[in-house]
Amino acid sequence: MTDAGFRHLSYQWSGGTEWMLVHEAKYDPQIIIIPPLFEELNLLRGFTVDFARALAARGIASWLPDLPGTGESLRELRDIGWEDWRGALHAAGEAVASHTGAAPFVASFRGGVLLSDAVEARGWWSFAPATGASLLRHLQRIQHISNIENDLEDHDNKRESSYFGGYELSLPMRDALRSAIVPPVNGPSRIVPAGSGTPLWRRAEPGRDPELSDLLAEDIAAWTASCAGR
Amino acid sequence: MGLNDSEDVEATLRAVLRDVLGIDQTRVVAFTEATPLFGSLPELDSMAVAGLLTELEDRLGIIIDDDEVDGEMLESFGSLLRFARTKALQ
Repeated sequence: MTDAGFRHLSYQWSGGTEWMLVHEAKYDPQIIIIPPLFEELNLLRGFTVDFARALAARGIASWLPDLPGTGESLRELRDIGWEDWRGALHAAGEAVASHTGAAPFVASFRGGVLLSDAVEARGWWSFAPATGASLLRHLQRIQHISNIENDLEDHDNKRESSYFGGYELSLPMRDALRSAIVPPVNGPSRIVPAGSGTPLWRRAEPGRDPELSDLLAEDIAAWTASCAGR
Repeated sequence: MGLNDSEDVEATLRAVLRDVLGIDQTRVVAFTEATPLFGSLPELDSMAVAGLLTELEDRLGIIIDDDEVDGEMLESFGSLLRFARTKALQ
């Protein structure tokens, strides 16, 4: 399969410029993909791009923005707050709408679901949402084990930022993550739960699951079609 | 999930090692109590251990406190198995 359909476009938010991986922008409908957060972002990167390809195979365009402090972003993650992520996603959604003339649908994964209501969208589809508390707990566990490995003490609350699973987060960011829950949205929504078996985000190495990415693309294709028919 | 004997716990631990770390079934079956894990098994870095423990929590229906996680517990297949049995069968 050719990847000629992929290109990068920038979008502006109040804190700077970030990039989006855009696949077949000429198609309709448009889907903005909010990826998983932190280490799950890396573990599911290939899976997420496979999902974008599977959408294109169904004539659906996708936009995968970098969150500030991740991917190609020039910002340091330790300087980024939860509201920055929300503001950036809101701006990314507006950029899609201005490129295409229509608001996108949102497809969000895992921790990305926690930010999904920041996008003004025609509908919100999500896969295997995680609470912020469970994501933070897992990051703290990774950090704790890494500290054992390196003979270090666990983190010191008095500092302004600290490492969680290898990610340096400000303490307000940590607190916002801890209290983040799946948000209510004002419009059509669908939540697809994780299937059986060991999920990709629990495995030690990044993995792909072409069958699952294809199944999910089929699910959202049918769902956006049913939304459009309303 | 109805885990009520130590053989069930052992089978679950081997399955989790296989599924999370992507270790070949024949290699996992050959693990003995003395097989060293953390620090010896290249697949088992801090992220992998965290995934392993979280998956064990789900499959055994237990909660593992980070205070309970130390080098000794992760040292060998036997030490991790003893920990899992104590948690799951208590």
